[in-house]
Amino acid sequence: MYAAQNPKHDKRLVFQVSGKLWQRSLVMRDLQTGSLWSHILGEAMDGPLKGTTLKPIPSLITSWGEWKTKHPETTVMNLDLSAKKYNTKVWQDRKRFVLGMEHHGKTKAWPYNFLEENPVHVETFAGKEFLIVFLKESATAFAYETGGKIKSGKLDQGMLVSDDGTHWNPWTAMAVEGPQKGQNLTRAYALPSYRKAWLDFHPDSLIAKEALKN
Amino acid sequence: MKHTVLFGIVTASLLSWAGGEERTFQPRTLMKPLPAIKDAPFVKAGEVKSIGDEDLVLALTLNGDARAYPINMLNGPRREIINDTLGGISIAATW
Repeated sequence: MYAAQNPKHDKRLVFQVSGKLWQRSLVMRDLQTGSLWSHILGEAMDGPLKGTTLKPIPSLITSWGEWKTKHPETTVMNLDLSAKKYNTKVWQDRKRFVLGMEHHGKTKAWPYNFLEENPVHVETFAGKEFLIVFLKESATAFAYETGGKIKSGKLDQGMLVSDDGTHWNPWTAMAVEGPQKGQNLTRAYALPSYRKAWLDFHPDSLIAKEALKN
Repeated sequence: MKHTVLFGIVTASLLSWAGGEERTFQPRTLMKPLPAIKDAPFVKAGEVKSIGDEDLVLALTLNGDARAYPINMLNGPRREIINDTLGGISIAATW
């Protein structure tokens, strides 16, 4: 998900499917300049805007039931179906999926099986402290900057309870109860992706290691 | 000529082997560019009939506005990018 603005002067860009694939992934083309963009990198790879990058916008992949319960006021796109297979069963083989992040030129991926084992995970990566929260039932992964507000935590009935007893709503990133009530966390950009696709684009990416089980 | 090509290949593979920052953008062309989607219809949560609770959505909130894009409507080359505006911001929804 990207802001559709020309990085050079903030005018709107409208994108089309270019008809090209790069490393088995979508190449987008903007109608205004004809530049070609990698949808995984958000970077113009060719054309007048080559080398510039679109601003990524944090988004989620979750189940419709979960989303509409948490956001009853939501609007939803209503086109005819072009597939039927994308439901929560897709996540069954957790190892095939990662949550990927890029920060200060470094990349790291957290496999979904790692996140299932570590559903509240705080980690300093490329000089910044991040928090990843993972809801098992819908395989929904959230990423935030901790801003020093959370050192550790656990999930309790869909709420994140941090080490100081503050209850955070992962959907709104707001503290709803406890010492930090009223505070909020900044959402970080993270990409749910096939592990293979992530590594195609980021061959140097670090990968969080699952704990070895005896 | 032959040597130039060979050198190019060797350089590219060395860079890739060394994990260098150089990316060789060599896309494959499969088809002509497809029409941009700019006017997808949106409805309230209770008004969508074709998806169930277990179906996946790409979803976000922006400046207080919440929106979901069912993945089963984004599948296939014609649907891979939705040009949209949410919370006053122009966005390109892709996954």
